[in-house]
Amino acid sequence: MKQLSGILLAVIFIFPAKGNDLHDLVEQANEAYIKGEYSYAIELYEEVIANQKEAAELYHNLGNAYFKETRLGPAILNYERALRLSPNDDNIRFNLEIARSRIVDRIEPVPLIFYERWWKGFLNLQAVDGWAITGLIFLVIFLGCLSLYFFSRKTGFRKIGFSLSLFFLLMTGICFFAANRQYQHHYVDKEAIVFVPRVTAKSAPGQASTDIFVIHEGTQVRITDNLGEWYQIKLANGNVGWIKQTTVEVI
Amino acid sequence: MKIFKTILFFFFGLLHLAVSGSTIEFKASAPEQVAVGEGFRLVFSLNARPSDFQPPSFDGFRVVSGPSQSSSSSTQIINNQVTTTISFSYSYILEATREGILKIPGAITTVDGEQYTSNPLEIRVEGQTDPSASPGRPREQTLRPEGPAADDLFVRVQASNTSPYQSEQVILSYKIYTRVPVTQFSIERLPSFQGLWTENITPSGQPSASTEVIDGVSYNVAEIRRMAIFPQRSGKIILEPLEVECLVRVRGQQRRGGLFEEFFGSSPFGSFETVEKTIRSNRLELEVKPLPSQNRPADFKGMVGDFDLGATLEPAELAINDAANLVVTVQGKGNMRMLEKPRVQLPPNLEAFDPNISDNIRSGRNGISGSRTFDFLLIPRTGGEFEIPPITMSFFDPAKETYVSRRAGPFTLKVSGETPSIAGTPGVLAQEDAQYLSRDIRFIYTRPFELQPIGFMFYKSTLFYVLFILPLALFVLLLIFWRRQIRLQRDTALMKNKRAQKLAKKRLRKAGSLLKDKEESLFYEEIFRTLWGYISDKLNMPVSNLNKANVASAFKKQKVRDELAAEFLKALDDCEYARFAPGSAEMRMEETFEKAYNTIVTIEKELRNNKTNKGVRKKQQ
Repeated sequence: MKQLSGILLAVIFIFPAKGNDLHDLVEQANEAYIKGEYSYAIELYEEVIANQKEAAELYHNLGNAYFKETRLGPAILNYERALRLSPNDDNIRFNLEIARSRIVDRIEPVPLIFYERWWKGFLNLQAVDGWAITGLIFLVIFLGCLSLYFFSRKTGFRKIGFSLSLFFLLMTGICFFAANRQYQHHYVDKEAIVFVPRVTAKSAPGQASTDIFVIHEGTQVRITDNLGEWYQIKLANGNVGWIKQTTVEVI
Repeated sequence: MKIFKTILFFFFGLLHLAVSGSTIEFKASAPEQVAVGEGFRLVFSLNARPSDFQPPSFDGFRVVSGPSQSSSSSTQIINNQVTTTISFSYSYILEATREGILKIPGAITTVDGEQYTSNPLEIRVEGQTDPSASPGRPREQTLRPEGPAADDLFVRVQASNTSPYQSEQVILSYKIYTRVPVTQFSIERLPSFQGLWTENITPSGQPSASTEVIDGVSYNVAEIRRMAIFPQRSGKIILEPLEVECLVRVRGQQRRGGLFEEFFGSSPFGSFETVEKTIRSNRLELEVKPLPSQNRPADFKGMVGDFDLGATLEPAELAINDAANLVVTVQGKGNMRMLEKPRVQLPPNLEAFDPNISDNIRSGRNGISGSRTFDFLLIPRTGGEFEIPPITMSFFDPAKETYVSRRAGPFTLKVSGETPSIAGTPGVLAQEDAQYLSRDIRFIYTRPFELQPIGFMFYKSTLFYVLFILPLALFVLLLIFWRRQIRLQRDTALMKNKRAQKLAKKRLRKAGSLLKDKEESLFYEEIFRTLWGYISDKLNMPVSNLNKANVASAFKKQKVRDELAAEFLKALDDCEYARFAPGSAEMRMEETFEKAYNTIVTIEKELRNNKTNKGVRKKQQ
């Protein structure tokens, strides 16, 4: 299915001619990475991104280069960006896991019930666009089956058409629902990565307010509100505090 | 106050009560004119025993040494009158730091609870007088008549390199230069050596003396201390002066003594006196360069100097569970003591113990050199060949100003024998889990991949909505079209149905006229067409599809009685028969006409009955 949607995407979008130069840039960056010149590789990868182009693999490679330079904040950020485009990629997940194991904070997330885990795993089978395309395909199949029901003269065909159309209607619904959930998760709910070595969260937006907790570089937080130059953040374990906007980078 | 007291004493004649309080004089004395950088002596003298002394601020001067305190007392008995003279003095060696007329305010002292202030001084300071003199050498010759002149005795520090790299070895040498005999010396104060790692490399035993000529004057030189220093940080590092206390033998005659000493002088020829003198070395500034960050090898661990790396593996062939020794030797000159254990990447299943480290580090005259040996004990636990990758070590060579890497190896260890299997169970192989050595991130994606514009999302884009609505709209349109088509078809069927009888009548009329005209073949053809046309319209079947078989089944569907259907078919048959059977003329034509007409009428009736009986019935083809 992912392959199919990839092909569909490739068919739908015509890539501009400039893509070729950027591909060369990616090649160069990969070579620099292989040679161990990680800071140069970072420069090149960032240049590709500065040209308003992205790919899961690009973010993954950039994350790797940052990891090798032991800059965990940017590394985790880029792995997260890669996962947003390709949520089911095993390598990205593995590397993100390793990078997370190196950061200072060990914040235990609220544990998920098994069906929540399954649902999450199911959602992560595809990215937003993947689900949207699958949904569209199912929609077409559903309409096909419905036509079979409507226009066939043979009772047998009509029966099959009816039950298949019900099934595909359900599938279409699930796909669009999943697409929406992924969209909500990745684009509406703002997640951010701490970029400074150490930041103290306050009880209210303002330097004078009480310190609540300290988080370190690489920790992922959810942004729940913002006020002036402050973000209200929520940690994976449910703690809430206010930090300066400059200390984090939104995924 | 002082005057008042003196007057009091004078008038009341209470002189016999005075012990030390006749008149208290607190005087400061210094030369009136000095040069910048020239050392001179400032003496505060007091003819009483003070309980407290507060020096003034020496603004514009640098205190080279002091205060040094001295006291003397003498008692005289004249006509039963006891007079005790006490003299106290505080002396400073000062150096003027700028030109002009500089003022030294009076010092404050307390005697018997009374405070006294000395006279303020004005000193005219002129420009440097002796530019050839080496800086930092204290010049006190003019005012130290009792000691040797500064030109005759001083300490100098020399560094082998004043702009070394960080961690580079620098040799410091402290030397005493003297033209007077020094009987003894002791180092009073060592510099703090902040930011430096030091090691004393002074040769043991009495310092050997040599002769050196400076500015045409020859000196006896003795090296009193030699050190190897390693700067630990880059930037400017200042070494404070070293202080040495010397016992110097000087000729007694050279001393300016009082009348008393001259009179009772122990030797009229002038004996040698031992004088204590403190001398300080010059300050030394080191400009430490940082190690270049360019081309720094990954395995560089701060070693600076010149080193060699050697390694041996002994024996290269052995049996399982026997021990082999991997001996790694680093030898060279530099910060040897900071040498860390080289990283040896050993293959798994080759057990290694922490290395046994032995040092052979000498601190000689030219600094620290020597070797450090790491002895790794390796025990192979499985058979086969073990490949030990090269052992590498990097250091910075300050002479070449580059990083240098040395490597030794690789080595191959051949291990004979088989891995012992689980005892007692032949045929069962010892299985091991895959060994996980360390966790690292997975490699980058090198395969080519498509780049998409940032922020572009297909979901919720216009294209998405178009693709979403398009099939739905198409489907609905199709559905509407289909419905209309069906309705249209039904309408035509209905029309045809209604028209069928009329058409049949019309055709029959035409047939009737043909009958009158006796046009036999045309008549039969017309009757035939009438029947087929009627049934085609009535049953909504295209004429081309008609044959006797499906007409019969169509009749059955319309619930037309069998005999009626048979009658209709019979009429068709008759018509066909009559068309091709010659002879029988009018009579048969008449009969056929009658039959066709009757059949149509009965079927029409029958169909209408069926319709009303069964209610509204959907017409199908």
